[in-house]
Amino acid sequence: MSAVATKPLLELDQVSVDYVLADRRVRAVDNVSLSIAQGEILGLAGESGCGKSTLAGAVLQILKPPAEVSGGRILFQGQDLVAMSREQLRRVRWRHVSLVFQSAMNVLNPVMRVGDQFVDMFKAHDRIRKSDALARAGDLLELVGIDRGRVRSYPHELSGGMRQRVVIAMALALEPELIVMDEPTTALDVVVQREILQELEVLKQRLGFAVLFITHDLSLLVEFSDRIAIMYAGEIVESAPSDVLFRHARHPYTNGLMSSFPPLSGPIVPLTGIPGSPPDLAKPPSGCRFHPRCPQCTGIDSSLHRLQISERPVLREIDAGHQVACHWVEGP
Amino acid sequence: MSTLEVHRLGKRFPVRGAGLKREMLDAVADVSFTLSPGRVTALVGESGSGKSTVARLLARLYAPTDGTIVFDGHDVSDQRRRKTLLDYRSHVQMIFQDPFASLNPVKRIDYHIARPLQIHGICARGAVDGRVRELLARVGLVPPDEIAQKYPHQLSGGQRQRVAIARALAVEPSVILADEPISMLDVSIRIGILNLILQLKRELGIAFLYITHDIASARYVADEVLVMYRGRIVEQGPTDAVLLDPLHAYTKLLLSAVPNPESGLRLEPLVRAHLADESDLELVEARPGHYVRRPA
Amino acid sequence: MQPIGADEAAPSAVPLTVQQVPTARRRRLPGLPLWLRLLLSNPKSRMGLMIVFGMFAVGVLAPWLATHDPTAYSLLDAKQSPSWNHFFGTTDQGTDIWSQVVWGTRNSLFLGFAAATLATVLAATLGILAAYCGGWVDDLINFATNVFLVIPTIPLLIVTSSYLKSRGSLSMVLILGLTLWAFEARILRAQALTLRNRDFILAARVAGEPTWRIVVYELMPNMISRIAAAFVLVFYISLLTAAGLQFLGLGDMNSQSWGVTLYWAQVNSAVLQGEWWPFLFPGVALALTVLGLVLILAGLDEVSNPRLRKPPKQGRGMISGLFLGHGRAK
Repeated sequence: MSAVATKPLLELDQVSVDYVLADRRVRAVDNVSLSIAQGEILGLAGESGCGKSTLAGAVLQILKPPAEVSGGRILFQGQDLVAMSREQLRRVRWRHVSLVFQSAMNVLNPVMRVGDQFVDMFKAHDRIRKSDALARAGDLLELVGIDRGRVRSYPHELSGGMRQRVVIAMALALEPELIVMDEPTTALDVVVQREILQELEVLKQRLGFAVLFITHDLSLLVEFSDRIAIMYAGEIVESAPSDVLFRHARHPYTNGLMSSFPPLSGPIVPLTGIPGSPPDLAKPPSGCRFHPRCPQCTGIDSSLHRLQISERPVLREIDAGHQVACHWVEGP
Repeated sequence: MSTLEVHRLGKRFPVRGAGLKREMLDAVADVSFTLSPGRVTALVGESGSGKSTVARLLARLYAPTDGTIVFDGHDVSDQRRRKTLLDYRSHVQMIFQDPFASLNPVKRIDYHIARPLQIHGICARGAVDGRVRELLARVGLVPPDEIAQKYPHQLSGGQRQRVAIARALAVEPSVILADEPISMLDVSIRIGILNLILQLKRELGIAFLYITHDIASARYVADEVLVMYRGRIVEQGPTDAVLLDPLHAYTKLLLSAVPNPESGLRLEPLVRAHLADESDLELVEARPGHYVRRPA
Repeated sequence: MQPIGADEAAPSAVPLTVQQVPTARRRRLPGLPLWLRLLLSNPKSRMGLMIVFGMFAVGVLAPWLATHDPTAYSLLDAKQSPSWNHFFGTTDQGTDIWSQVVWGTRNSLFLGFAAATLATVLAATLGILAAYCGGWVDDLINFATNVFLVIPTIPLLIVTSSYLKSRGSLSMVLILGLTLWAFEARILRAQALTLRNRDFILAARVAGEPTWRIVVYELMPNMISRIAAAFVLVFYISLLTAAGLQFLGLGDMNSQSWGVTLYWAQVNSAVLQGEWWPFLFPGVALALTVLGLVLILAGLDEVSNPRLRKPPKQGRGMISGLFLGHGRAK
């Protein structure tokens, strides 16, 4: 389970991210608070448009206009990344916090050999001789299970799974304390995905980094992460340790998500998924953003219904380590 | 309703070998199965397994290099005449993986559904609009009048995929080939599409070929499962026979790799196996109705 | 691949004909067709459209705008600099330059428009057909394209003009069109190739659509912005080429055209005599029209490729975001 640390490694405190357009602002991330302890794997699950990728960009401070962080603090080892200068950020990025994207080909330069790309990266952060850098690149490739001779290969000569491993090796190169992974295995085969995740687990034990793992595949997170946070329409609606979330999820959206995964064993029962589709963040529903699709928003209890359609629920702790933002869960 | 049978289907593509040598790659080899009315047959495999190629062969987008395709008792694998091809297309339709790319961005929804009706003369000219609305309602897109006037980019992924299904239904097909119809949709929307497929199978008796890399969805929707690896079928049989009692090493590998929270174990190690070149092996009936590729 | 959800933006590879109007201010008349609105909202193409529209208007209204008969001689009025009577002055023979330029607009624009139409129709049809059919059709069309690409336009025009009895506009249009289509055909073929394997084309095949319908109704509408760009490009190249030939004396010297006016200006050594008006005004008319077309082209590019668009003016938000780090709470 998670390593115990008194001060969290990463703490998001009421972070909001807006997309500033010509005539209005669209809030993609709304007052999100999260924390990740050292060596912990936090899974962030949500569907498209929920803001999870925007959040990843905010953590690394790589958001491009029109996106901008419009509120809150992002504390890494106690320091607010939002308030840092470009130079300070440059020193934090990659050395302490790195990022793995979904598609390796968005990261790897197709006309440069793999080893040279590592050299590029090392030189950007340190004074180092090319031969040393190449040797370290070879070490890193072996670390992720690739033959070190591949340092001389071009990206297109590697399979999809190997390319993604290269990208992970790059993210590990400077031994950061936190790696943010945005759908790192979604485009890969299930077998390759499993191999990579197993390797990541081993590396994590060895090097002790923490991971913010962002994906839409909730069943994957239940197996892989220590804690899971569920995001919907820019907000965190539930967060709990993985096994607690799996067996005792309380938020109707979380339950809806989980019942969208057909079982691999046991009886095959008809499932319903969640009717409707995620809201347009430019015009989100009033009150609880999930209420138009929520099976618990029925109007039977009129005072509850009034709350659901007018007031935004707040994330509250209902059990040890288990937080939910839901009027229905909280009861009268 | 008719049956679509495939016997020892094969498709070879030329690929550039080292230097000037032209090598042939077997994208699909020795594939045989039957699509029967009112049944969903799942074709499960990873990328590169050849499953999409099988769909495109059955949709007559390419011609097979080996084997035969038999529809309703007639061999259709070789015909290139437009009339017979058109007739085939009025019985066998396809839906694609990417819900945006499969609709023409500059045409409204009613155009997409009206065209097959017009090409195949399914109904009188005056009745086309009404039939379009009917089809939209059948796939759950309501109100149909509003939806018919929209452009693809104004609909969500799930809605677009329903439009694609409505388009396929327009010709009143016997067979629908569904090539990864849900893999690009949001998780909470996938079940809706799978339920629609089950409903159409029950109500209209359509035979479905459901192609996917997601075993769990195959289990939910299919009556029969075919597992493909490197262009060949390595195991086939009734769904739970194959998925709960897998006999081939590759099937076992796939099943152990899929995230399964129910299993209670964290990241169980993969059941690795030496997957030999399967080209010399034959499909053998190991249990009633359950075939495995193994040494004869 | 990432799942596509309700508010996923359309992929930017798709030409813009139907994409939502970008967040530019929408105070324009809602009744106008989408493409016109998009072009009007972009300042470059707006300016270009105004110029070109203005020139077309001049051409159409020539009978009313011209003050004199452009062919009338009057030695009394010869060599006059611009005045109230003769807005653009007179030539050595006393013909009114303003009227010549105004009437010349018709001819010049007609030449450009006709050549552009011919070339674009050829380029679009052949290019898309080559891309869609592949095989021997593609090979044949590529061969033809290469042959025509090699033919140099101006020498060919010079040669044919010397041989043809009548140097009418028709032969010039024909030759311009036939030599300029090849360049655009290659480009349109390349774009059609990227669209050919898109699922909606496969879906059309599976639905049973015949080839010609796929080319005309499925592929072409998705290439409108590129085809429009091809048209505008050939238009201004034709304008310049035609004017150039006329200047060299190879056009129909009896017609009214900017190039012809320039020719006579040169023949009469206007420059040496210090008369700037015979060549300035037709030159400016030509340059202005070409400018307008180029501006439309620039706007078209931005309209079809969203990545070229400039972000909306934001002032503080953007600057602070770029240099000082994000998150200055507003």
